[in-house]
Amino acid sequence: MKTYYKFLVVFLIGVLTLSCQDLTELNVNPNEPAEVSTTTLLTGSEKKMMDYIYDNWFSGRQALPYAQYWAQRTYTEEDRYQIRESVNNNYFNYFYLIAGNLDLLIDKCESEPTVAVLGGNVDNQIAVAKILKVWLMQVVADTWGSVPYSEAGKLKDGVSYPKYDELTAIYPAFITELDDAIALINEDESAFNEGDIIYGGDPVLWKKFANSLKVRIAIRLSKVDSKWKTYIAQAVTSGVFESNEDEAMFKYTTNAPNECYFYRGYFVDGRNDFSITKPFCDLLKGQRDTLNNKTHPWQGVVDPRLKIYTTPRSGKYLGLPYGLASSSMNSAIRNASPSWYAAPPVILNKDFSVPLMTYAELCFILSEYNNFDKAWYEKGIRASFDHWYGLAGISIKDDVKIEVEKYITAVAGVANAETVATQKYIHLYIQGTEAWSEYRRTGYPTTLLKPGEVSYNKAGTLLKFEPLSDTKGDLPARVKYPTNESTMNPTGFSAAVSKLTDGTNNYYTKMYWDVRSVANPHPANK
Amino acid sequence: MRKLTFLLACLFLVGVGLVNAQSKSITGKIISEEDGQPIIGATVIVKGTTVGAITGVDGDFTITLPASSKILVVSYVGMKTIELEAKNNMTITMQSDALVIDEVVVTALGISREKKSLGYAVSEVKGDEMTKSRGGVSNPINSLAGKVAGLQITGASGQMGGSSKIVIRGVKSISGNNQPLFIIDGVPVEGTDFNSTDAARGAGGYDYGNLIQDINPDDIESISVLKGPNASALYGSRATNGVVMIVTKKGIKGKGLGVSFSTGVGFEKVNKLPVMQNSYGGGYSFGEATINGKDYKTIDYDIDESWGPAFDGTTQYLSWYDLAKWENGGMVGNPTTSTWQASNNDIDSFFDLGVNFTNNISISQAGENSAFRASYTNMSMTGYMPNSKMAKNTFNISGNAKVSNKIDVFSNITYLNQAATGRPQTGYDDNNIMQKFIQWGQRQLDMSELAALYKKDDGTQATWNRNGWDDATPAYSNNPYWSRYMNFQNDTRDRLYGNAGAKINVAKNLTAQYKVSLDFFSDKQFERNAVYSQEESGYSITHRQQSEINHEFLLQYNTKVDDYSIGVNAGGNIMRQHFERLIGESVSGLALPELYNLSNSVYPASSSNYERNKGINSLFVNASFGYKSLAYLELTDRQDWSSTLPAGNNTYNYPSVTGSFIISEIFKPEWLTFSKVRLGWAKVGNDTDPYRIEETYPLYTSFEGNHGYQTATDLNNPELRPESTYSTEFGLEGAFLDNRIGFDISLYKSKTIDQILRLSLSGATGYTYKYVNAGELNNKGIEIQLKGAPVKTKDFEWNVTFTASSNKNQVVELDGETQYYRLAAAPFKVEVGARVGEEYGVIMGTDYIYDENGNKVVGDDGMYLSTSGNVSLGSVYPTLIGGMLNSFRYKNFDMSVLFDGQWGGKYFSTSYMWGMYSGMLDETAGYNELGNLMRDDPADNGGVLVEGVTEDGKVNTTRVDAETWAGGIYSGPASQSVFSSDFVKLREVTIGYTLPLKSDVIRNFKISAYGRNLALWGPATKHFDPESATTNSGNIQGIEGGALPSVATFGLNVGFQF
Repeated sequence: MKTYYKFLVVFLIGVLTLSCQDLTELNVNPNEPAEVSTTTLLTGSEKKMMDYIYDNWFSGRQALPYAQYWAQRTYTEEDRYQIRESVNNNYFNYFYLIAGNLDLLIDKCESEPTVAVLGGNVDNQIAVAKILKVWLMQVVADTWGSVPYSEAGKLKDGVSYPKYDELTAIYPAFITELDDAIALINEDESAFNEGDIIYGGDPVLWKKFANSLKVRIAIRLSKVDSKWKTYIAQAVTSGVFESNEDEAMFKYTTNAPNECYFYRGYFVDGRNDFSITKPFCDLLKGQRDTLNNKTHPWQGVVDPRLKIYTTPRSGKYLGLPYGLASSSMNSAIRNASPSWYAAPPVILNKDFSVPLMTYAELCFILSEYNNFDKAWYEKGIRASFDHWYGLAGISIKDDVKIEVEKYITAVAGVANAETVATQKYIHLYIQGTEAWSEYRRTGYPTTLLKPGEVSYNKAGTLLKFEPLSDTKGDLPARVKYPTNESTMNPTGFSAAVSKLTDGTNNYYTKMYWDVRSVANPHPANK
Repeated sequence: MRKLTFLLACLFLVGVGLVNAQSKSITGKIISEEDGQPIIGATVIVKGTTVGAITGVDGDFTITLPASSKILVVSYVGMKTIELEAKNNMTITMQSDALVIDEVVVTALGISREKKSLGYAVSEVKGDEMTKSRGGVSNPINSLAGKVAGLQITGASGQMGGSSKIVIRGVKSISGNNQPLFIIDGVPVEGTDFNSTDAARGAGGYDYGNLIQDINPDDIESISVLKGPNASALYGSRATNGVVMIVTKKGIKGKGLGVSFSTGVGFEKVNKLPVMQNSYGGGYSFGEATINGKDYKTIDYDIDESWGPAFDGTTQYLSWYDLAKWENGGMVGNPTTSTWQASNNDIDSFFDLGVNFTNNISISQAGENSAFRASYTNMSMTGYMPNSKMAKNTFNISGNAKVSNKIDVFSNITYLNQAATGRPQTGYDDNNIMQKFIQWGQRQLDMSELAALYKKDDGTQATWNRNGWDDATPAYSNNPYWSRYMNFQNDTRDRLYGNAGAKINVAKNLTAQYKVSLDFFSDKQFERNAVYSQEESGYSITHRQQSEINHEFLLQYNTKVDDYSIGVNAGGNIMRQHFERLIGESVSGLALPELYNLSNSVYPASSSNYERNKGINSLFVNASFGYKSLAYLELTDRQDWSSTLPAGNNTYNYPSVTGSFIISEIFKPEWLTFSKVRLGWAKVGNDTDPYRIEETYPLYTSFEGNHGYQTATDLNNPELRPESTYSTEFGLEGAFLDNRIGFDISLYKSKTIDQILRLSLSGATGYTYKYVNAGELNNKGIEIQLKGAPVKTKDFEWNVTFTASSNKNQVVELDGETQYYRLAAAPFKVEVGARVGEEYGVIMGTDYIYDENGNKVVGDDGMYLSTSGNVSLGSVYPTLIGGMLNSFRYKNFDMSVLFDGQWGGKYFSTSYMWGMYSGMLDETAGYNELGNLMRDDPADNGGVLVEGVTEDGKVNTTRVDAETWAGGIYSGPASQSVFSSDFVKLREVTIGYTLPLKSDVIRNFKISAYGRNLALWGPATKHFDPESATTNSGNIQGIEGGALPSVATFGLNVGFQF
């Protein structure tokens, strides 16, 4: 019997030791860090931001079709303004989560400067986070209109239902944020010693980007806020982009899984869903829209960028008719447009560089700011060629140079509201939200297809662009709020919806900076 | 923590001290003849004296014999009272009384109790209920469906080892686990699934099934379902949702070595497929192609819809098969053509007859001091899906031995090994063939052609959904045979669970027991996508491993003083659970076709791992008191310390009190056999999952050597507190007319407060979820069981059992002003959530707009208008479930027929929505109300006129062309695709024959046949079996997304006992 007891005692000691193990120690998450550096938060924010903006959902199925750069080859619902609710819900959330990431970066800089210091100058880091957040939130505001801003990202302060701010408050707040950021920047110290994919931590470039972004926001307000000129003057004085060298780009890599999301959408997901639209392709080809009897600012002049923006099929450059019903998109129509799956253009490169803002855009804005100044206009066109040819890896010399110069000569002669806006539109290719927003501000280019207009002549039958949502005969003025908000933020949502035209969550309520009307489709700057 | 260890140590020291006490008296043990199990609580009295004893947990007793008598009177409710002469170390076998009015059931901690002494509802099912029909070939737990009041089991019948959703008495936790705890011989075993959220919400992935399918029906003696928290307070928080307690077979004391052998063959056959239209083919219209100067008619190969030309049976066109054959032959000569007609070999011919074989052999022997049983079960099956198979081996060994007259040791170990290949993919996924057959596709496709050529000689795929007549690359859909034979998965699982322990008879009526139990599994999943598939090729390996160890200490004391009986159990439990997962995945596809190794990844394969730990320490006590056979009272209390809660808030206590009163002891008219009333109250605490306290940062990317971290989507909460469920229960039982009629009714009410919620938020807050303690969820319900024996003669017996339960559930409060909690969003149109004031699990989506008169409002375009935001479209949980079991015995024949059904739930069908949109389902073709073809032009009175009124109140007269109308099922109100999940099923029929044998060699021979899921009545749509929407065992229910077809299973079992 005694041996049993000895055994029992030894055994009990063993078991009791186990139970003495501190229970709270068991609850330390071994999978994720509880502390991260600001440099890693920056890398995460930059890449996530670009991944979600420049992909085949937010851009491919919304912003690029709205700007009529891309059309869908088979299922055209989104092109015809019928949103996929899950996409709308998800992307709204994603953007705010990324904004939250940037808030965290700022918070870490302010509350734990020692951690941040390891990666660079703390003030500069705060400035960079603010700049990126303004850039991102402008996409959000330009897309949905009034959105949560002043109370967004404040869950830890107890805000579960952030109110939706008026755009009249949001855009000036963007300017203030940028001013703060610009003031914070110390040009002598690196912002991030590592982890900054966009500018390698260069504070001078970040400052130029901040000022250029301020210029972009200012021009958006040109029809409604006379201060826009002051903003631009301030920015130019403080220092904006001076060449393509300065532009804000995020370059992907050829290494999986870090390829550009346009590439991933096509070749990883295996979806050959999009192609260039007929209106855009025809604009580049110098072809007038005869179906709707429209004019072309440079009829007969072929834009050499056509060869970079898309690829030919059987030697021909054709665009996909825009806004046809899925059932009208038969194989014959589809197969006349290029299959980018088989012949990918530069935008489907694995290591494509996606833009936050380019120098050419700045030039076009400065042209407009200087009463459509011809020199800035031409500078913009040249910068655009340098930008796009650079991305395509083609140097502008010899025959290429002759072709480009010939084009510039043909289009640069007249700088006015239409030519500047149209060249800007051509340049902004792939920046769907910006191009669509600029259309909404200026009413240009006029070549864009309006609902009800004829999209395609199918063997004598004229097929029209028939949207699935009411946009009052125009391109959508905004995107509907996600249905998710109606349940997750009911107070904010219903207050915001009640302020929309007709009090409904629609596509036709105009942004406050969009003052176009039927009588005055291209209002002048204030 | 120190307090607990001290207490445990004290308990043991007390125990050890008492072992030394000796007494002079005889000992014995009482067992049941039926199963050889000890009888606890039997009364042993020395005849003609007041000297007596009550048997302990082992059926053992010690009694001091006076000189006057040596005759013992042994009695026990439901057993024949016997008198016999006393001997030391005697084993007394009791026979059951013919007039059984009460039974013995296994309760918490595996203690057998007289059912009449319990103040709460327990339902017991015999093990053979599970072997009779084996739950089909899928999840064995399905065989309990309809047999226990208050137990709802929903399982997709047609998935090999697919998930079953199991709920007892309604959902109690808004975001936590709602599955009952499974206990096998005192071992808590993992019963949930680790399917992805995507699989649950119908967005894709495989349904690997919940782990409770690892139980082996052949080893099960009985199953007790402890329904309320009252019944299960002793098992800790995991028992809030009830306990399914499984007792395995043990060595039976019999004539020497007992050998039994059983073999069964089963079949499964698809018995319900959506009804498809057979009038129009794929694409939109014919096209043209010229090959070698010859003109051909082509179709829109790349359109996976069926809005094409009507079948005419004459037009010759170039089918995908014509092109693929021609290409495979090197494009020599001209391709053949095919006739434009409905498929000769439609979807139904894709499915095989599933076949499975089950063999079990068990050997048992029991002697004076030891008993053992060993069993081996082998199951092998081929599924109804092409290229699917599964094999399962289960070994079980159990034994106990008396190592001294004070110490018993026991152990029970089960090892299971399982391998499956070709589980079907679910949801909106690339290789879910049902999504490709129903939601999208072309109606002229011939399965025999698809089977004949899915892989070309050069290894590339031949699929119908090619990008063009001159482009063979897949557009959206793989060839379904390619999906099954090239893009298949396989998985293996090894699992070991069991216990070992010792019991010491410390003193008279007092025993101490220590038991360690282990549940360990290692599960590996291998998923492939072949090169030349529509999607990127790939290979992934996921390895999951979990172990849970429980140390349980228990002191048991039973005594009887005059008319009072007292039983006390006190003990402690230490639980530690460790889970880890390792995933290896190819990056950017596979370099070589058909080589499935991570080294074949185009870029170096990626890997990731995850680890999770959890621990709970507990102390518990349970005391029961009885007065004569008249009144019983039981008190329990448990204190848990959980690792998942913040220090300082990590402990919680939960008491319970139950009582029962046997009315028939004092009021017993002739017609009343038995009557009892019971009452109970309990509180159960609950913790949460690990790592919800501290904030941590997930990795977003590793980009060119830079790590990119991000904020988590979930905001953790360092101030979480345990949640609590309070419940009360009232029950009434009665048996009449010599036990020919009986009823058992339970009424219960539960309230769960301070729930730990993963509250969904607008992303604009910076997070999409936060953890909070909030909310109140109430359940109340009624369970009724009626039993009757309309005929009871020597040769013929007919028994009817009717069960019904209704649970009413209400979300009383979420978090403060929060009105809605999202469980999951479906890939399209709807989400499932909880709304204040409504039932848990409501489908949220857009609804029709109704005018004041209740008419649906139609827009100017002739299509239904929908609400701008999401509204509640009904609960996914039924309000009433029920079953009726008729069993018959005629001489040696027996038969049982089980019907079950459910009413009051809803589900959203993704398949219906897309199947309409794409012109695949039956409703998209045929005639309209004018008798014209609906696919004809509305201008010619074709098209569809939807019922409703325009916004100005006039009856809608705008006809819409069929394709636009069907597209409106997607673009219009989500409620168009929401259906009632009501059904009545002929769930199970069994017929058996037991051969009367007088032989000494073969002691028993039985043959039986079964059929399951044989008929279905009342589904809201002709297309689906409402049960097939289940793809997981968790809370995300009610979203059908490419559901697999429903199957009927039937088979034959033969058993011998030697």
